[in-house]
Amino acid sequence: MAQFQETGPGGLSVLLFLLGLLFLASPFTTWWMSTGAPWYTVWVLWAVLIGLSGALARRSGHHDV
Amino acid sequence: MTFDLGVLTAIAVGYLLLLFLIAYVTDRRWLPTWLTRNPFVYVLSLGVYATTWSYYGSVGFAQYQGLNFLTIYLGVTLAFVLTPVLLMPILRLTRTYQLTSVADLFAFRFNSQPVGVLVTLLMLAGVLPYIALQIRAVAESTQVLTRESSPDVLAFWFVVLVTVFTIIFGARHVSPREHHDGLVAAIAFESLMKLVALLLVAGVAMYMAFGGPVGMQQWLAAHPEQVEALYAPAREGPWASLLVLAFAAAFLLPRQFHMLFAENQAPGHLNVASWAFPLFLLLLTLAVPPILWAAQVLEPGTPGDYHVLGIPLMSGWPSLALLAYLGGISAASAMIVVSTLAISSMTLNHLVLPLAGPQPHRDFYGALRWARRVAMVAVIAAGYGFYRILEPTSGLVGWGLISFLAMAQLLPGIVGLLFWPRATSHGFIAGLLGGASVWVFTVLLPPVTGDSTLAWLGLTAAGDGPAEAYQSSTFWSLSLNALLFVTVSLLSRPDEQEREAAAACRDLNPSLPVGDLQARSPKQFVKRLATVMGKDAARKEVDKAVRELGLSWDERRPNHLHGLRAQIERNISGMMGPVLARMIVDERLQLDKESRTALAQNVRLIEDRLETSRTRLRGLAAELDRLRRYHRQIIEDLPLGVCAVAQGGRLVRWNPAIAELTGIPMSDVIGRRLDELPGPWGMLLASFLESDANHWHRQEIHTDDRARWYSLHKATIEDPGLTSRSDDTVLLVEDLTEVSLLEQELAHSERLASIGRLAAGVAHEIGNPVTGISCLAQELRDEDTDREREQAIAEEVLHQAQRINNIVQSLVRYAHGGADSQQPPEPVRLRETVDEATRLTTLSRRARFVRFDNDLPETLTVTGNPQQLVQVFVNLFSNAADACADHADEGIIRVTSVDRGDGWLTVQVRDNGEGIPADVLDQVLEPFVTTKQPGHGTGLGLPLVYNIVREHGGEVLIDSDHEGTCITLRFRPGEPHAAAADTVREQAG
Repeated sequence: MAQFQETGPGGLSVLLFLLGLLFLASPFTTWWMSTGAPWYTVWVLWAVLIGLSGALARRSGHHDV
Repeated sequence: MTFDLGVLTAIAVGYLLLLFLIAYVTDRRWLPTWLTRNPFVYVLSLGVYATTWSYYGSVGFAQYQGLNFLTIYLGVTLAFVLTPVLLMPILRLTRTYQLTSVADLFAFRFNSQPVGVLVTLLMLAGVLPYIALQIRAVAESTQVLTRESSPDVLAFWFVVLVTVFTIIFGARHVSPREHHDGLVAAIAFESLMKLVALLLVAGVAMYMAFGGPVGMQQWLAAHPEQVEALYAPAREGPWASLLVLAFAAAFLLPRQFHMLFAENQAPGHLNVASWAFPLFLLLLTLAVPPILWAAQVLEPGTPGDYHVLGIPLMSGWPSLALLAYLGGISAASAMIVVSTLAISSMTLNHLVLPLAGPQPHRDFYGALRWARRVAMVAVIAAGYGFYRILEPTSGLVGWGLISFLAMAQLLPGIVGLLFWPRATSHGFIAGLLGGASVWVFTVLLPPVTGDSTLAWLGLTAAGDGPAEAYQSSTFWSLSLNALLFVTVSLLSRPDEQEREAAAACRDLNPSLPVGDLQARSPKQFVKRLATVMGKDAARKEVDKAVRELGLSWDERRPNHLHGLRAQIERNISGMMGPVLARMIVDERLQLDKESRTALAQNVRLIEDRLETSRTRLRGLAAELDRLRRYHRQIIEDLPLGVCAVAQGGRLVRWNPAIAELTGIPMSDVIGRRLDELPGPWGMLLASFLESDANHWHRQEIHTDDRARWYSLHKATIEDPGLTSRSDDTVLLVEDLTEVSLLEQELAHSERLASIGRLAAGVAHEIGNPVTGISCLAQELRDEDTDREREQAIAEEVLHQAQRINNIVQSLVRYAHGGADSQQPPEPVRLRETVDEATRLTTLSRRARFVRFDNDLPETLTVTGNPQQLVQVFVNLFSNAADACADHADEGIIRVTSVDRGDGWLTVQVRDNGEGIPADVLDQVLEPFVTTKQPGHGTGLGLPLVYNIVREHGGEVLIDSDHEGTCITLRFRPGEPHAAAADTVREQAG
């Protein structure tokens, strides 16, 4: 019987990691570095990644470790 | 502004003493636990990642490499994003198997001492230059503040103090797995110090140079080339390679591994760290660009690596300069202390102890502590030696990257460890040797020898900066490493223990223990381990494991002894590394491979592991697991007591019902033998298990001074994998107490009802002798009798009185028959029983005109309760008399015995009454079924006959037609219980 399973923290963390790679280690990275973006752009992207990590950690906290 | 070297030395020493104080009060538990064990203290302690390279060198790195300096922190962030799939599994492994270092982790996974040795050597080679870098940074920062040419004295004393601190607070425990609360608190304080100092310096620099953030933005708008100078190297430089290096360093650097995993107080803290530690790094790096740009405006005259000190010197605030300096001292000391702690543990476990071998020293723990201290001193001394001999011209960043690239060589291994069970130790060693060779020749040797092997290898163009060189080295070393790792792993085969370790790393259940332990008790564990570690240490280790598992020193249960063995192995692993621990346990606590572990015992272990496993089963496995739970729940919810006994008579299943009716909880039972259970159950169940009978009915047990009755049943369990049956047995215990009490009450009621029916006859029977006595008394009174006649009358009176007495006694015995129905069985002559029943029955008016023929032989004897057997015949005779009463012919009730040669005693009660209607014949043994008129029968007579005969191990057969009814009673001579078992088996069969 097929059963719907909620995505666990492991799967979400991998998705978040891929988002991090998109921000920081991809052609997109080279692109935003070339657009004359403000110097703090990378810190903003970094902060977004940390915020999402925090949300994920909060969600993981409900799982048994 | 300059500082006096003496003053600076005093301040540095004073600061280090403050760290001593923080560590000391924490270890003494003078600070509240909520503070010292706060997850944010753990997060700050991870700030040991930021060494002098980060603290001082980031500005210099940013000056030449722009945003590339950020990769060192962004890589860490990416690693922490993967906490649930990367860091948490490693934490689980290190906690479960007491692994203290990255070398322990790989040695455990590949079950190989050479792996541990190789990783330790790589770590040493990578970390010693890094320690040298810290000492150099302290010396150079002192030089910046004092303008002294030779700050070596301060560097030396700094090293001495850090060594003392490491020994005092890092070698307090025998096992490095024990948490060093004081050390962690001190390192966390140092991280806070670094952050505050750097942010203050950045703020002051910004205001000094630009008047504030707005001014800085205006300056940047006026100088767009400054922002472009940040971005250009990142677009074109080794951005991706440095990200990879930092990703690996985030958890593989010895100091990071130690703080992340060995000092972790709770897994939840790692969850907090997954976002809070990157946030700490973000704040730390946010200070770098303002300091860099301010330095370009203010021109403090210091190299880029030391603008963090140069700008405070220009500010004219000595306190700010000192704070910045102490931030650097913090970064250096924290790194040296924690790295030394981690490296000394690896050195001891994988280089020293395997060579020396554990000795049954008188003070085993003391010897280990001293060995660890000596290793600490040796590591720091070697780092100091590197500082003295290494080329001082290259920047701080270069030396740091040497270390980072060394750690990155473990990346293919860590991927294999967590995600590829097929990886082998040969593959890991081959990959590590290949990658490390590239690292040595392209990165490590050039700064030492001054010779650029890079050009020789043709990997990078001459004249490239160090960062570009690392891009090439990272790619080639990791590529070669991964290629060899995969290829050699596929070409080689892992042995059994390696496969088990791989399964453990994947959170799969390793194979089950085969055979019993040769040591049968914790005391025997001590005796066997004492030959390796001495008696005192062996006793302490076993005692610790016994307490951790909540066992007792009298423990004998095999599964608990297996658990104790595994716990001892884990604890020794925490002290001496996993390979030595496994070797000691395998050699000293051997398994008896010849003995077969019961399947049922394995089922229990599998169930326990499934319950505790964190692996989410999917697909068919998940469905099977649900099915297993369902089947188990059936047994758990069964209202019958169920226990299963495996090979060796050890209990492997004990359901809640049997726990309730015996009062013995499951935790006290599993793994024990039946005869080890407390009385009376141990004796009863063990006897039943050994007996040939498959059923024991109505076993009486006295608990709390009350009698209770149980029926026992058993069956052997078929081994699904074998054609023959296993030695395992399932026992069922059925509580019959309530039924028995009800039956007794019914029997008593029926007895009283019978007496009621006999009442008229009793009156008549007693009336006759009373009349006789009365006549005789009149004769004595009214007539003149001689002496001889008087004597005759007296005899007659006594005779008549005896008749009355007999009737009364019979009634009393009959009425009270149920009260002592639990008296022990005794031989009963059936002929006398039938006579007694006849006497009672003939008291009834309806039976008075029936002829009773007792043809039983005098010697016919059964074992049982005489009064209950009387009741059997009274009930049968009453029914027969009632059946004959309405018949035209004279009623005859004949009792005969039949010898069929089948070992049964067969008694037939035959009447010539009207018989039982065919439509109720099959139901007459059920309660309240009667053919009599209302008020003349309760419908309980024959059911009671059936119950009593069955209790006596017999059976009742009824045959009836219009010529009369024949009731056949069959008894087995001898002990009633065994007879009962056979009877029921035959009926069931």
